[in-house]
Amino acid sequence: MFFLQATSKSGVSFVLFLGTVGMVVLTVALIIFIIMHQRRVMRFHKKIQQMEQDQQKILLNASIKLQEEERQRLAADLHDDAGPLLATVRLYLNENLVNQDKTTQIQSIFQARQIVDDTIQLVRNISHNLMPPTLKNFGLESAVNDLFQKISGSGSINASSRFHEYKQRLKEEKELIIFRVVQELINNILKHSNSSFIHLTQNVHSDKFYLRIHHDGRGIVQSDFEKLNKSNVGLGLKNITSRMRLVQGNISFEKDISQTYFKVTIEMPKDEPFAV
Amino acid sequence: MDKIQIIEKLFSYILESSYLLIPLCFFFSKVKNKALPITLLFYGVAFFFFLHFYYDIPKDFRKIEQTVYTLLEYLFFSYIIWLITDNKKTRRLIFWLSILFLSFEIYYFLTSGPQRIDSIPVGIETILILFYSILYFINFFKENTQNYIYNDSSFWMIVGILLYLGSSFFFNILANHLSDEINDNYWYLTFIPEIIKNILLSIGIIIYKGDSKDSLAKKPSTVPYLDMI
Repeated sequence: MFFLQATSKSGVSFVLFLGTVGMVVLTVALIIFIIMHQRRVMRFHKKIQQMEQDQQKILLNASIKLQEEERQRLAADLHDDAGPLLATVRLYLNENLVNQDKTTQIQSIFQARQIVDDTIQLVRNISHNLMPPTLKNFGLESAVNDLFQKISGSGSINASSRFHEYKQRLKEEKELIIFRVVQELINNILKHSNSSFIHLTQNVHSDKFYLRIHHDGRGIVQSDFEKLNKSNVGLGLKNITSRMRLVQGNISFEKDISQTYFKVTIEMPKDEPFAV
Repeated sequence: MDKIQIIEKLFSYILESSYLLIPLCFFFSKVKNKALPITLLFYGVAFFFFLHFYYDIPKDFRKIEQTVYTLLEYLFFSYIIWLITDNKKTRRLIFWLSILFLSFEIYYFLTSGPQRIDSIPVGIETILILFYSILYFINFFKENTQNYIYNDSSFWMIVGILLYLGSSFFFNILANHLSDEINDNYWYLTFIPEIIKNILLSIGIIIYKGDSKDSLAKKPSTVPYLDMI
């Protein structure tokens, strides 16, 4: 105000002219800057979207690759295990068997029956690998508990699981997807983490289904997960990502605040209850 | 009537009419039942009548008239920004600063003498509205990354308000220091950004879709019994 009071009338009009022009220029410059800046931000986002699309392609390729591997494994199991077993049975039950003495006949039939039993067991194992019966018949909770009991039963690692809120089962296909993700995560922990315990907890909160796995070994955090997801390695993690996308869920990897263990959290929308 | 007076009269009529453009666009807009277009409708109608009868009010009441004008303008602008901002902190800040401004306006009214224009409240109003506008832009960039800013109706409203307040800021601040000659000859120039503002507010009403920016769904900080400890 002192400046204004000290200025003469002509000075005031000069200040007025300069100030007004300055303010107009500043305002217009601000608006142009905002528009330009936003365009730049949008370009950046488009680039990120493109990268995400590329990432999705990688994930899709990974999932196709995994499917192919699974088929190959299945074919190998059938060809290498079931094939020779059945061929052996065929050898035991050849047409010469009727010409053999009774003891040899009984021995051959017994042997063939033994091999057929093995083959049945083998086919059952293959089928269980495709769709665990516990999961189909009793749900995710039982299947996970079963899996953890088996791991714990080995004696090398302490595995436990606790479902807090699982009265209403998820849809069958969702359960299978989550179970596969858990299997993959557990597999990774067993293979790479060298941890002494694995603990799984489940709960439902704000219409969301949560599942968290804790372990005290070597683990990864979110940035590692994203890095691995973008790289050519880590097929299992890519598969986890694509499975999570199928159920519209999220997976996050973090280290606990206490820095003593790692946490993997699965979050996805809860199924709508069936209409009565 | 000399040339300047004719120009001033012409600008004055255009300015008055430009306020009517806002209610006119309101009736042509697709969304009428939302707070923002309704506020703008009231703004247009109120200021049309205010300007229309501005010089009919006796000079003794000029101080009241100026105070009410500044206050109404501030309240309308701040309420418009308050409506188009989703950010709770910004809204709270606007609310408290408005209370402070209101108190100051009352104090200024009671303590100041007669003058050409209430420069100080107008100056503070301008600074506050410019500040809110910048906050609006910051919030827009934080929350909205999908749409171009100029596709948003609120952008045109803010640009109108910014241009109007920015351009008339020095005129308003120095109004009491200007000679009568300069004031009479150049005052009508402040009508230009005001007309532009009214046009931009009208564009804002027309392109207004009633969409509120969805605030990002926040992750629950803690899910019971999910952690081991």
